[in-house]
Amino acid sequence: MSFVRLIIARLVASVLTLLLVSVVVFTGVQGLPGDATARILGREAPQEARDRLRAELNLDDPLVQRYLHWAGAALKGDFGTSFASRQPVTDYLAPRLANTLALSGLALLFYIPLSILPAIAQARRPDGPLDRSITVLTVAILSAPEFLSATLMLFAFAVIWPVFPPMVQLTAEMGWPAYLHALMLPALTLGLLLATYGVRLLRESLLEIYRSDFVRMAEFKGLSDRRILWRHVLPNALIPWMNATALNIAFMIGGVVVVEKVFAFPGFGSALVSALQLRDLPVISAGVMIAAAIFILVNLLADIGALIANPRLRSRQ
Amino acid sequence: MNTRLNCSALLAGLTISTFLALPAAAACLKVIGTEGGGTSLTMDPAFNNLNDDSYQQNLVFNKLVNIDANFQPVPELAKSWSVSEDGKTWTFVLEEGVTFHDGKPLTAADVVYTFKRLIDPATGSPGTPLLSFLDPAGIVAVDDHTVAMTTGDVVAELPLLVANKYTMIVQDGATSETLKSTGVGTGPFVQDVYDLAQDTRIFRKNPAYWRAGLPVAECIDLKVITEEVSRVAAIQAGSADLILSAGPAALTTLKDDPTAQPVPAAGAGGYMTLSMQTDAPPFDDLRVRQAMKLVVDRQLVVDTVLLGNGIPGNDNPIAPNNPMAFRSDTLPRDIERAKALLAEAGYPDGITVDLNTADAGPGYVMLAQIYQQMAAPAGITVNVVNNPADSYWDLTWMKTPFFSSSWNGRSVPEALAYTFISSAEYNEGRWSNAEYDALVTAMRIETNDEKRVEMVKRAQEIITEDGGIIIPAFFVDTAVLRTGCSGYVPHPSAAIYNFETLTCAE
Amino acid sequence: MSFRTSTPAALQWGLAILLLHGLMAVLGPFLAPYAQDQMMAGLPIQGASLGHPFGTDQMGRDIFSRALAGGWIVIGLSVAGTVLGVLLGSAMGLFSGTVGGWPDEVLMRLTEAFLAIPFLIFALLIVSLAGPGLQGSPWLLIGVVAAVYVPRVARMSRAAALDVVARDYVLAARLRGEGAWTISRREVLPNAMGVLLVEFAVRAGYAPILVGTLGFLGFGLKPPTPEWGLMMAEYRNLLTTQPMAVFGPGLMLATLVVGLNLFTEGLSAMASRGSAGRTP
Repeated sequence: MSFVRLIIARLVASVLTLLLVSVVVFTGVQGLPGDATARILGREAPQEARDRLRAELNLDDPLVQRYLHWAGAALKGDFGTSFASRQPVTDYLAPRLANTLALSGLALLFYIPLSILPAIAQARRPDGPLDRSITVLTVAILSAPEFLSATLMLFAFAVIWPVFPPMVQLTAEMGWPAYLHALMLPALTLGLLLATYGVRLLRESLLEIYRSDFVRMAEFKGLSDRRILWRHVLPNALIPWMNATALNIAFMIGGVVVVEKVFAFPGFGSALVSALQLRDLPVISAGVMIAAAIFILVNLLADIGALIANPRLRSRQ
Repeated sequence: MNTRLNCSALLAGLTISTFLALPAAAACLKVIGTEGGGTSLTMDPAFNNLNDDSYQQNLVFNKLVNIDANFQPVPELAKSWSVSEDGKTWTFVLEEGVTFHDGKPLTAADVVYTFKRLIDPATGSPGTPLLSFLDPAGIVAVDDHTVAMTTGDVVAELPLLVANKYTMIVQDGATSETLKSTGVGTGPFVQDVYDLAQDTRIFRKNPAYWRAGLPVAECIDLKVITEEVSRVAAIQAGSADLILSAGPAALTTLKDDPTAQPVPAAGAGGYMTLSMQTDAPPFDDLRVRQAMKLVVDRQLVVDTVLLGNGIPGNDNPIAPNNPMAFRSDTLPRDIERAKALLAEAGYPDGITVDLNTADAGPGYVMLAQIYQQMAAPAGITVNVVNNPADSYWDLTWMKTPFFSSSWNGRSVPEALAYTFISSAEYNEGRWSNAEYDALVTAMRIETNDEKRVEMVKRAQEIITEDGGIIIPAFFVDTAVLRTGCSGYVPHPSAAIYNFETLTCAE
Repeated sequence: MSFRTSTPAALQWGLAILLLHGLMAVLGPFLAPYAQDQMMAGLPIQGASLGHPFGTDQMGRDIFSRALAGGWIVIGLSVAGTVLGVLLGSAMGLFSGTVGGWPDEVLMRLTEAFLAIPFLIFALLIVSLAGPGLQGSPWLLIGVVAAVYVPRVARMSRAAALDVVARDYVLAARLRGEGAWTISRREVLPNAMGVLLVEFAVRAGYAPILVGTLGFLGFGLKPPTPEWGLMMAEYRNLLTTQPMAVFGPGLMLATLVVGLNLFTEGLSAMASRGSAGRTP
C-alpha cells in the first residue's frame, strides 16, 4: 500500500469513528434519566413552570429527528443552546476548552523535562541510590488517587510556601503573563502526575537500548558517553515514549476533572461534570463530541507521525 | 450572534489585551461562595433557586421590605408602611431619590410590576405560591412613591410575607430573557463582569446608592469554590477575604489560625429534617411517630453533624432560642417510652423502616447514619438508603415515606405555614390537622400581638406532638473573614446577604 | 529483551504484598477494635492516637476499624471489575484479530469510538445512565470498571492475536479447515496468554484509583461504605488537622496498588512489555 493511500485510509477511518461516536453519545445522553427541567428550576418549581420549560427545550420530539437536527447543526459549528444558561453552547464551552488546552499545553511543557531528565538520570546508574529513590517517588505518586496528589500540591505550593495562588482566577483583561501565572500550579500538578508514567516508560526503553549491540558498537568506536546518549540512545528510546505521550495528551482533555475541581479551574472537564449533574443535554453532547474529536485527531497525527518516522510500518498492519 | 467555535478570535483577543493589559483589580474584595449554580445561575429574582443566585442578587437588588436576624420586617426600599382600619390594605411609602443602576428613578410602578410579575402564572416563577394571598388587582401605585396592597382577607403580617427571596425589586418592564443574565437593580453594587464561562463575576460599587456612605467596598469579586479544602487554602493564603459559609470541618481547621476570623450568624436559621409521611402505615399511627421522635439525642446531633455549630431542635420550625418558642429547653431522649409506645402500637418486637437520603444537602447523610444508631436501642431498625444526589429532588424527596430534607430560615408565620398546613405544596409529612390549619388561618388575621403569640406557641406544640417531621437541629451559619477584614455578619436565612459594610484593610 | 535486575524480586515482593492485603481483607472486619459503623467510639475528629491509629471522624467512628472493614470491598471491586473487563475484552479482541475481514473492521471501529471518549467522562456517563436505582451499588461500579477496560483490553488482545495469527501453525490450522472460533480458542489464546496476564495486572493496578476517584466526584460508592478511596474523599477536609485520617486509608490503598504494580513489573519483564500512558 502506498504511503498516501494509507494516510487516506486512516483519515476515512477516523471520520467514520467520529460519526459512530456522535451516534453513541447522542443516544446515550438522551437516555439519561432524570428531569432537566426540575434540576434547572429547582425543587420548589411548580409543574406548569416545568412543563413550560420542557416545551421550550423541545424535549418531547422523537429521537431520530432530534439527532439529525443536532448533527446537522453541529457540522456547521452550532451546538445548540444550553438548557441551563440559555446561551449558545459554544459561547460557554469555547473559553473553557481554550483554558483546558492552555492548561494542557503548559502541563506538557512541564511534563517533558519532568519525564525525560529523571529517566536519563536513572538509566545512567541503574539500581543506584538515585534510581531507587526516584522509583519510590514515582510509585508513591502513581499509587495515590489524583485528588490526593492535587490537594497536597495545593497545600504545598499555595499555603505552606505561597508561591502560587490557591485558586484560579481568570479575567478577560488579563495579560498573557498573568494568565500563565494563574495556570502554573495546576499545570505543574498535571505535568507531574503524567510524568510519573513517562519516567517509568522511558527508563525501561533507555535501559533496553543501552544493552543493545549497536550501543556497544558505538562504545567500541570511542564515542563519548554524552554523544551516545543524546545522539543514539535517546532518539530511539523516545519513540515509544512519544506514543504514550500522545495518549496522555488526549487523556488531559477529559481526564483533568479532578485537577480542575481541586484548583477551582474553569475548564472543560468541570463544565462537562456540572452539565451531567444538571442534565444539560446539549452541553453534554457537545462536550463529549469535542473531547472525542480531539482524541481522534491526536491519535491520527500520532499514527501519521509514526508512519513517517518508521517506514517499516507501512506494510500491512 | 456568531456561534462558531471562535478559538482563534479568543486567542487574538488575549494577545491584543496583553498590550492593553489593565492592572489587576487589586481593590476588589474576594468573596467565596460555597454552593455553586454553574450554568443555571440567574440574575432574575423570580427564579432564585440556589444560594449562588442569592449571593449575586443580593449584591445588585433591594427588596421592598427586608428581614432582620430575628426574622422581623425592616424597611428597605419602603421607608415606612401602615395598615388600614379594616386590616385589608397595606400602604408602603417608598424612599426618595432611589435610582436604578441605569439612572432611571425608582417609582411605585416598578414595585407594582415586580409583584404582578411574580404572581402571574405565565412567568413560571417558583415564588408564585408564596404570594397566593395577594390579589394582582389589589396591587396599586397610589402615586409615584406609594404602593398599596389590598387583600381579600386580613393578612396580619403582610410586610413579612412580601419579603421573601423572590421579591427583589426589578425595573418596570424587565423581561425574563434579560433578567436571566443582566440584573439592573437599586442595590449597593453594579453588575460589571459576568462571565460564566471563565467563572468570573465582578460587581462594582454603586456610586449613587441611596444609602449614603455605603457600600464601603470598591468592588466585589464573587467566586464559588465547591471544595472545602480549597476554600480553606484560599483564606490561609490570603487570596480570599470572606467565605460566606464555612462547614464544620473548615471551622475546626481554622479555629486557631490567626489569619482567619469566624463570624457566626446572629441567630439560628435553617433546620434539618427527617420527614415521615403520615398518611400511610406505619407513620399514620401517632404512637409510632412519637416513638421515632423520642429516640433522638438532639445535642448529639449538634455535636457531631454540626460539630457544635448549631442549636438542638424540638421537632418544629421555630428554634428554641426564639422568644416565640413554646419551650426553650431541649426535648429529652427516652428509649423506654419509645419502646412502650411501639408495643402499644402493635410493634412489640420493634419496627423496620427505610430512610431515604442523599448528599443533596448539608449533613443529610451523616444525620441519617446517626439516626440509625440512635434508633437501634428502641428496636427501630433503620435502613439508610443513600440515593444519588442529583436526582434526589425529582425522584425521592416527598415521594418516599421517610426521607431527609432541610429548610432555610424563615419568618415565623411563613415557617409555620410553608410546609405544615395541610394544603401546603411542600407538606412533607402529608399531614392534616384541622386544629393546626385553623390556628394558622386565625393567626394570619389576628392583629393583637399577644393573642397571636399564644397561637404561635400552641401551633408549635401541635407540630411537635402530632406532626410527622423530626427536626433535631438548627444550623447556625458561620462565615469566615480574613484577618483585617470586617463588616460582615451572616444572616440566619441562607437567601439574604448584606455586603454593604464589608471592608478590608490592606 | 528487557534488562531488569530486580525481576524475581519485584514479582516476589508484589505477591507478598498482595497476599498480605488478601489476609487483611478477609480477617480485617474480625480483628478491628471497633465496629466500622459504631458512632462515638471516641470523641469526634480526634487525631491519631494509640487507641485510634487513624483518628476518629466527625461521628466519632474509628477510622482504622473502618479501613480494615473496607479492604475486601476495594479488592473485590477492583478484581471483579478487571476480571470482567479482561474476559470480555480479550474474547472480543482475540476473536476479532483471528477472524479478520469486515467483522474485525466493524468491531474495531466500535472499539475506537468508545476509546475516543475520555475514560473518566465515559465512566460518569455510564453511572448517570444507570439511573438512580443502581447508583451507589457495587455492581454498577464493577460494570463501570469493566466497561472502561473492555475496549482497551480488546485493542491490546487483538494486537496480540494478529501477532500470533501470522505464524505458521495458525496457517496450518486454517488449512486443516478449523473455524475462527476454534482457532482463537486452541491456538491464539494459549499463545496470547502472557499478554493477557500483563493486561490484567496493569488494569487491576489502576482500578482502585478509578473507583476512589469516582467516589471523590460523587459518582461512585456512597457513604457509609468504608471503601478506601471514598474515605479519603470523605475525610479530605480534615487533611490539615488530622492528616492520618486521609493518609491512613491512603497508605492502605497505595500499598495495594504498589503490590499490584510490582507484580505487573515482574510479569511484564517476562513478556517484554512496558506500561502505556496515564490511561487505565
